[in-house]
Amino acid sequence: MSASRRADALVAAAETLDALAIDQGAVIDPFAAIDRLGLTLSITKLDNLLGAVVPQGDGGVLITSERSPAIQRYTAAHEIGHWILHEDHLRMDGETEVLGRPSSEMEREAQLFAGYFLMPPPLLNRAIAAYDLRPGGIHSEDVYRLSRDLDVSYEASARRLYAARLIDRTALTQILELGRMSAMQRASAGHRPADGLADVWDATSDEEVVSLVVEEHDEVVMGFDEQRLAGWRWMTAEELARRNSGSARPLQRPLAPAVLPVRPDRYPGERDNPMSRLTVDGRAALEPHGAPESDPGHSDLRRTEPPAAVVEDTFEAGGERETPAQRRRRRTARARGRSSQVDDHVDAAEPQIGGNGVRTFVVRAAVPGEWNLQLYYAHAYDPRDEPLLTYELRLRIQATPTTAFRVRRLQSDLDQRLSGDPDDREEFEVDVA
Amino acid sequence: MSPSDNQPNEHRVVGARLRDARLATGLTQAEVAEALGMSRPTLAAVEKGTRKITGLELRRLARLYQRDVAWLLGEEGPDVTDGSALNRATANLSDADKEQVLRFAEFLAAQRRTEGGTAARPRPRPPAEPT
Repeated sequence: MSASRRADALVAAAETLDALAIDQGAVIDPFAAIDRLGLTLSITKLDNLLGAVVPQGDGGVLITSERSPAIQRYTAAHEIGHWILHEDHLRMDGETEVLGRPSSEMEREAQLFAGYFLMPPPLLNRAIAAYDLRPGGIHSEDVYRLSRDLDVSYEASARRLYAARLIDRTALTQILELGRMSAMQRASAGHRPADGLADVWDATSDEEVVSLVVEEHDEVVMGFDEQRLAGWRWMTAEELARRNSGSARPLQRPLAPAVLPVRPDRYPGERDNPMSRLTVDGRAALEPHGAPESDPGHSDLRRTEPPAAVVEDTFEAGGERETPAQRRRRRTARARGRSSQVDDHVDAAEPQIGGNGVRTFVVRAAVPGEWNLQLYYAHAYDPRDEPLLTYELRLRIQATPTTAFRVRRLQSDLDQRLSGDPDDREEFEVDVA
Repeated sequence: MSPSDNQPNEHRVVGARLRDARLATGLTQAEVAEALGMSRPTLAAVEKGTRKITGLELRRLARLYQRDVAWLLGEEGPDVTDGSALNRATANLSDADKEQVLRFAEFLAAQRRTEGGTAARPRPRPPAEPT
């Protein structure tokens, strides 16, 4: 592709962002942009196509419901690129056209457009600063985190970093070959989500409150040191209440955590995740109008289940703070009676009997809404003992583009009249027998 | 309610087309029934072809599913201005993908017809201010 056509695609993306008055320092919502361009959006089941731009009428964009939100968003930006750059052509895009290395010049232009549109320089620079990314020091897990937080595909993030000269061709190839799933596991202590299209967030922190904005099906991993043999446990509010009432011994397996509805006024500053999806620009355009709970119209989309739940709760003695080699060295040293010299993992002031273990919780987001998890680090047996530490995870779970689209269809004006509509009272046979 | 006589061929597809259109949109019978203010058994009967559908219900379903009424009623082929070009352009797609693209094109064209004529449309420009 000639340099001038390449530059044209980038300029067109910048001009479109400007013309739509989209905040280029925040995560971009291509679906809101489709609305503002006067295009009709449809998210529907497709087999091989990722998306299409259809010029009939006032024009429309078709997006598959079968891919991850990040790929849906990237495809949407790609189709906007075709619409802006390529006049009134029907364009139908599969894997190669959107994500691969297509031979068609138009497709390469649409890819460049999409990369710039979803990751304009202000947003990219903000992310680079937030993660302190430097040329030569960017690894696959950094690319995964960047793609997750900007809500774009892993491949698109890698290519964008390459285009911005932050990674070289060799690194790009390695990052693409490793793939998103491996990069995600590297970024989240090896955790693999039940839904391979979903993201994983590591909310392990010494902070008392961690706030995250995630999407349906995403999973959040938290790991905490626990002096279990010395009697210390991380407990949910319910477990702590049981301990205090003296009604029960601590359970071997913790109870399901209390689900506490969060009042909106408890979200004054979501500061812990600077690139959180909370900053999505215009996402409201795809949100249901009004609270889903108060809408009697749509049973299946009404939120009857809790928005999230703890799906894994494990304790690993020794835990990940100690590699097998370190553990071997420590045990060998202890056997030789000179433990303090080499044991840099267990504080001598702490009871040696306990050792360090790591308690890991995994939370899975189920449906849009708000949910929080409160944990207390306290003595598991003594009801008079106050919690030593507290931790609170505050989750805001956003609808995926597909869910948001379905909700919007159900709330659309069904009484719009078009020419060619039948008389309301006319009856039609529908026999399929 | 149940039609006991043999219906002409084109009638046989209406229920099936309504069902296919709903599934492509990812909506459940319960969701659609509630949006239209009908009972779920009624919608199920329509999709199975054991209950007639009124013009009002048909129109609302067409809007909900982003489909052209004429197609839901059993018309064949894309009713779009350059239908044959569309058919050629979509020749390499899978049947299901081709179906989705053609039906969407048909829906967009039908919307346009109503809003007035076939005049060449100006390319919508981005609005000067956010809406």
